[in-house]
Amino acid sequence: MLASLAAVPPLMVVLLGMYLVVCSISALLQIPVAELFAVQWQPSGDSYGVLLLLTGTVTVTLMALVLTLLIGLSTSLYLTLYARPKMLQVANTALGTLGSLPSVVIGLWAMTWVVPLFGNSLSSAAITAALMIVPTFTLLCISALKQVPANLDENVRALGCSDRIRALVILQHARQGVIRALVLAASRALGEAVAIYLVAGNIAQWPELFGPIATLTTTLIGELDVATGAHRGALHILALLIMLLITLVSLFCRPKLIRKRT
Amino acid sequence: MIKTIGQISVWLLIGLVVWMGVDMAVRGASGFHFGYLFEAPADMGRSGGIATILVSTALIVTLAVVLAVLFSLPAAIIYTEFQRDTRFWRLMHIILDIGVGAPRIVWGLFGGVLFVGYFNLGFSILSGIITLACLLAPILVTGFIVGLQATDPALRKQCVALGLTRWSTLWNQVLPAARPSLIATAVLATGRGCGDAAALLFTAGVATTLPTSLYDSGATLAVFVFHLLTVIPGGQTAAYTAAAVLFVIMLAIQWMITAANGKGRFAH
Repeated sequence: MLASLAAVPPLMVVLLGMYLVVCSISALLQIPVAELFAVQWQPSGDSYGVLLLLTGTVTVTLMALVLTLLIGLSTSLYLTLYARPKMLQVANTALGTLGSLPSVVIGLWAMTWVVPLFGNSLSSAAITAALMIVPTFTLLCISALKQVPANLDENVRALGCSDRIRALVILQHARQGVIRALVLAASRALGEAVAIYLVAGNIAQWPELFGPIATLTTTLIGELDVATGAHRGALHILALLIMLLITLVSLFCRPKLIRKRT
Repeated sequence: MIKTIGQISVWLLIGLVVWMGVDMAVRGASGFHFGYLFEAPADMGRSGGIATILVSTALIVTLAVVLAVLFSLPAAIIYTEFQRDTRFWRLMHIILDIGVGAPRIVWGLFGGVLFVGYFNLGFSILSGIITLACLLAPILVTGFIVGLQATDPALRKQCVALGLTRWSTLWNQVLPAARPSLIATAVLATGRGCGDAAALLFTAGVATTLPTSLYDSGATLAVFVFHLLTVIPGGQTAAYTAAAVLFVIMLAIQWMITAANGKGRFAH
């Protein structure tokens, strides 16, 4: 009884994977494989080149990650090394709030404040994606940095090292936690659809800093309700690609759920 | 140097949250009127209230979380009770990880084709509930496992010493001990459900009428905002008001999670 209920969540995930694979294979029978590598995504003209969308997703994610690293690392270092407890508390609440906001709210805010500055473009998309992942990344970083033994920091300070060395030593010690946070952030940025769709402009072309961009997820959300036939099949290939990307990234570094029994 | 950059980033983030809150409040206020929460939307959502949307949201999110917990809690219990470092459990772990990482839009595609089309449920609240439950289940299972594993190992040893059965230990000792964290996980999932637009857009649909049965289409608040922004011309003002309400709901949920965890956000 308990076991049969328990089997459902993993089974659904397996079903999802199988569904995507089966639909993608049947789509490949309809669409010539050479078409998939074309540098053009134009469903009305039967061109389903996934390359541009893939590049879009990767570029937006990488740019968002750079922004996140800059803001997240400096924030978490400052909060753990220098800030007073009161400050940590305030920042903590702020980050928690920002992290809990749904993607439509972030997207709406970005539409009103970021898009007028940068247009419906790659930059806006990257900034919006960064907004989505900065809070989680920073919070995870803070808890990773907090686990660094206090005497390490004391020793470094006793040696009279500069602030830069101090930060580097602590980061070096907490690097596993930081990388794990970064991987989680990357997988969230790869999968984010709604917020990016609202600001990206959604035109499949090579990435330009201030030009519109389409990603795998935005194409899915924008075209799913109008797609039929081969177009629908192509969208399943896109979904499979996102899943593969995210799986690759998250298998790269996984938190340990399995503990050795003592 | 690092101190200065850090200080700037921290204030930037805090300022950003305040900015968002004030922005939502100011722009949202223009569409807010007495009875906004108790009227049905009119003019395709551009005026009127959001009462029917709130009903759909509550219905979909509550039932989806209940459905997901029903399957996730047993899964988490079996995982913590029986897992060993074997190939099978490592595979389970990978599957769960993939499930947690699967984007909402991919679940939306899956639910939209499988439940809406293949099982012929149509754009309905029922399709939405099942899809959302599928999306939430891996998140819940992972959260529950962490909660159950965080209980004091000595508790189990004491129960074994007293000769309690495994079931009795679990039901009477481990679950109550882990309750705050289990509740926090469930509330977190509720928040995820409330904020979801991508998975529900293609399953529960965008209808703004009052749902009379589970087979009716019904938009949740997040879907409503997204629909106003992308499809309805001139819907941005109304979207702001609805988004402000969503913002407040999220704040309340966030506050509940902190309260349920008791020890603050760094408990784990």
